[in-house]
Amino acid sequence: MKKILILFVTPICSLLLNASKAQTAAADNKLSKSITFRPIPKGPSVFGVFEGRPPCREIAKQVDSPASAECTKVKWSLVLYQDSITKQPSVYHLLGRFLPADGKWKIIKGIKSNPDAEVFQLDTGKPGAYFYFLKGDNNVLFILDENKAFRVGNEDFSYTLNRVELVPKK
Amino acid sequence: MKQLKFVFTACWLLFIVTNAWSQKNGPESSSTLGVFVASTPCSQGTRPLPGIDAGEDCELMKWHLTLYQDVLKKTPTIYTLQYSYGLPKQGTTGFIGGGKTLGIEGKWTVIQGTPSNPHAIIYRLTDNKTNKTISFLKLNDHLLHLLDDDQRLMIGTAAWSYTMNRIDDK
Repeated sequence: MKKILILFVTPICSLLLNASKAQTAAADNKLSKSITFRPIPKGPSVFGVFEGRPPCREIAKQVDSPASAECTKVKWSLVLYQDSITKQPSVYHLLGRFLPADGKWKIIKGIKSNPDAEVFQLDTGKPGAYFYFLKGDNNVLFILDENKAFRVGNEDFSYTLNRVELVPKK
Repeated sequence: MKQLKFVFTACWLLFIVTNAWSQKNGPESSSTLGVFVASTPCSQGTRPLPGIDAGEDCELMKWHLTLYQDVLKKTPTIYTLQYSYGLPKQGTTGFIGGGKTLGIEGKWTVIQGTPSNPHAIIYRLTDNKTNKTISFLKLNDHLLHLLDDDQRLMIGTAAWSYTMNRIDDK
């Protein structure tokens, strides 16, 4: 009887012990620090700072801007501001190519696959032309195309911006 | 007592048979669902895959994930994941010294819902050797995003994100 129990219980215990997660612990899934030489935007009017390196050519094409064959990625640092009292979106400031350095932004609802999705719509300076980001969550934004559809990156670069914590260069 | 012995033996045999059956779902009965690639961050705290020692240098990981499905039923079967890691070589998309390459394989399943989104579709991969799991949020047929162990989107850096891009159907 004892032998049978051991035979039965041992593999189950071993299965349970091994069934652990390889995934990063939630406690370690934190904002990364991004070094900057610029003054760091602070205060209740800052909605967030998002950075990333999306592929270059498709974005250039969207805004009718020339891009060389060597243009493989763009470095973007996007600061979104909000009204400090109402918390409504106000203006953005972008460091990087292809979009105006400053403009207005607002939150709209819906993409084709998800009518409830939150989308950040940035003015491009041209009437009726906007740039869209899908809010994945508070920390991750996905760059959409002009039709509010996902863009697919490559092995080196993705169409994703991540919230970062800006820190001064020492 | 004899009856109890019989029940235990029957359970044990059933366990062995079902386990062997589930392992048998090899590539010969599967077709490729998709090949996904990405370059993601890797740090002391964020090492989403097994086999990277704590003392090893790891700032960048390159992923190459192939998902297979049952040819007839179109249900998930197995996956293979090759990943290279190391320190990034300045001015390139590669590694200093070429980096190190490892691989894991196993079964994958589709799970519906996360704590924050009951409609979310999660791909869960289990490593054959360690039984450890990693999960991705399916953004659409062409994009996956790595999750932490609380099923939240992994936050990338200014340089790299955790979005996997499908490359096989371009």
